[in-house]
Amino acid sequence: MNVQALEYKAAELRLHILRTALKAGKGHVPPAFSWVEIGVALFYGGHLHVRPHDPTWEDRDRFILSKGHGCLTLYAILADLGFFSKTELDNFCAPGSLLAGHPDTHIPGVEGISGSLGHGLGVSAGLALGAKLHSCPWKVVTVMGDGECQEGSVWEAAMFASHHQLHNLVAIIDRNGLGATSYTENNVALEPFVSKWEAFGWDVVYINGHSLEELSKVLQSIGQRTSLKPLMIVAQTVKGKGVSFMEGSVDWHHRIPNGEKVQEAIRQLTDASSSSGSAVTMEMAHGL
Amino acid sequence: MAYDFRDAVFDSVFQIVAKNPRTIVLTNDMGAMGLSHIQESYPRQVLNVGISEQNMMSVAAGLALSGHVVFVYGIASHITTRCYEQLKLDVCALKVPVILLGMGPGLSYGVDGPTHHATHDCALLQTLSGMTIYLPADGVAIKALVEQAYQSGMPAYIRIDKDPYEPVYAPNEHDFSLGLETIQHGESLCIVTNGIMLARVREAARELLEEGIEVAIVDLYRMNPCNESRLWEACGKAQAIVTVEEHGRTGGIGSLVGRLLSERGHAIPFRGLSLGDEMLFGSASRTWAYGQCGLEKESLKNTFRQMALLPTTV
Repeated sequence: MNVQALEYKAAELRLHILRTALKAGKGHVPPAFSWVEIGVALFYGGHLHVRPHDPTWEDRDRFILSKGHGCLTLYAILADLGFFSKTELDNFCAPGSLLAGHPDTHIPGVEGISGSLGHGLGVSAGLALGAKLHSCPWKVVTVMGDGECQEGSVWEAAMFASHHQLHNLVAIIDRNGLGATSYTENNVALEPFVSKWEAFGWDVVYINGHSLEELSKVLQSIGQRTSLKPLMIVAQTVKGKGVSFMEGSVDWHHRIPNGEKVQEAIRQLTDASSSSGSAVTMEMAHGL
Repeated sequence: MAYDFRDAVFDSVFQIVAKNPRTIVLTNDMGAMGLSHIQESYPRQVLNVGISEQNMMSVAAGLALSGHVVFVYGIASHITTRCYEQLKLDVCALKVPVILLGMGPGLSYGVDGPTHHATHDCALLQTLSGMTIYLPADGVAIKALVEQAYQSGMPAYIRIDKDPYEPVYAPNEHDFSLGLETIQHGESLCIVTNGIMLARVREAARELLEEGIEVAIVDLYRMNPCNESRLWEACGKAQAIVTVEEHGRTGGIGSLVGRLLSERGHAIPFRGLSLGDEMLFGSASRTWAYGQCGLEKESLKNTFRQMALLPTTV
C-alpha cells in the first residue's frame, strides 16, 4: 500500500475500534488510537511478514504487542487481515469469547500474553536471540507503551538485547506521554528518553508516530541495516488520536464515551475517514 | 558415601545439551562446576544473563518459543518468587519447555538469611497451570526427573539441594513416571516426605525399628501434579499419616495430603510437620531450624512413635 492507502486504512480501523468498544461497553480506546498508524505501517505496509491464513508459519516475523491494553487496534488489524473472523470483534469481552480486554495466545496472530506491562521486550529479546543463534531469516518486532518503561524489567531486557547484539529486534515505543491516570513526566519522568535508550546501547530513531510517511521510511530502512545494535523507534504520538476530547486527556484511558460524546466521536472519525477518501467508513459509521 | 546433587543434575543436563543443539542453559550469574563443564564443551549453549531474574524468565520463554528447550539455573528463592509473574504469563501460560533448576531449596541457604530461604516455592509454583514440581531425594531420581522434564516439553521446577545426598534408588530400579514410591512398608503409620527430608525420615525410622516400630515411608518426588490415586493406594490404609517437609506449612505436601484425606472423607490421625509459615530471621541453619520446628531426629522419632502407637479407633 502507498502512504495514502495506509492513511485510509488507519481511518477505517479507528472506526472499527470505536465500534468494538461501544458494542462491548468496555475497552481502552485512547491507548489503541495512539498506535493505529504504527500498526497500519507494520501490517499493511509490507514490513511485517506474516500469513493470516497460516499464523504459525515458521518463517513469519514475530510481533508482540507489549502494551496489551492497546489490543483493540491489534484485534481490528488481525480481523481485517483474516487471522480470525470480523464477527469476533462484535463479541469483544463477551462471556467466553475469543477476544478479552488484553490479548492472549489463543488468538490467531498473537504471539505473547500482555496486559501486565514489562514482559514484551524480554520475550522478544529471547525470540530474537533464538533466531540469531540459528540464523533464522525472521525478525522480531514489539510495540511498547511509554508508561510501560517505568517497569524495571524493560531495562533488564534493554541491557540484554544490546549486550547480545540483537540487530534482528525492533522495538517501537508509543510515546503518547500518558499513563493510566497521569502524564509520564509527572509521575516518574522518562526524559531524556531517547538518550536513555542510546545509553543502553540501542540505535534510536525518533519520529512522528502518526506520520505514515515517516513510519514507512524507517521501517523500510530496517532491511538495509548493517548495525549490530537492536533498533528502537520512539514514535511521538497523541493518546486518543482522532477524537479531540480524548486526545492527550488523562480522563479517557479506559473510559467509554456515551450520549453526545458518542456522536461527536463518530462525527470526527467519519469526517477524517471521508476526507481520507475511505468509502467503507461511512457505511460503518451508520452501524455504530 | 555422600554425593552432590549438582553433579547429578549437570551430568544429566550435559547429556541433553550434547545431543540437542537447541538446548540452552541460562543462569542469573550462579556458578557450579558442572555448569562450567557444560560451558567449556558447549559455549554457545550456556548463557549468563546477569542478575535479572525477571528478564531471564522472559528471555527463556522467547528462546523456547523459537524452538529451544531452556534450563534455568539459579538460587531457588530467586528464580521462583522474584519472577513469579514472568513464570505465570511468559512460561506457564504459553506452556513452553522451560525447566527451572532451583539450587538450594528450603533452608539449604538457611544461614544466609530470609532472602535466601526457599520455603514457599512449591506453594507458589503449584498454582501455575502446567508447572510440574519435582523434589528428588538422590542422584538416580534427579537424573530420571531431569530427563522426564526435558521430554515433557512443558514447564518444570526441580528442587536441587545444596547438601549432599545418600543413594536411595538403584539405577533403573524405579519407574519415575509414577510420581511416588513406597520406600519401605509398615502397617500402622505412613510417612509421606520427599527431597532432602527423606534421608532424615529414614534415619529416624531405622532407629524406631530397633524399638519394634515399623513405619511406611512414601517418597512423593513429584508433588505437582500429584498422582493422587497412587498416593492413596500407598497411604490410604494406614492408621495414621505424618507428612514431613522442608517447606512452609501452607501449600506443601501437608496441605496436599490433608486435602486428599478430607476429600475422601477419611478421618484418621494426621500430622503435618514443616517449617511453619513464619519467616525465619537471623542465621536459620538447618540444625537450628529443625530444632525449632520439630524436624530434628529425636522430635521426628517422638512424633512417629506417638502416631504409630495411637489406639486404632477408626
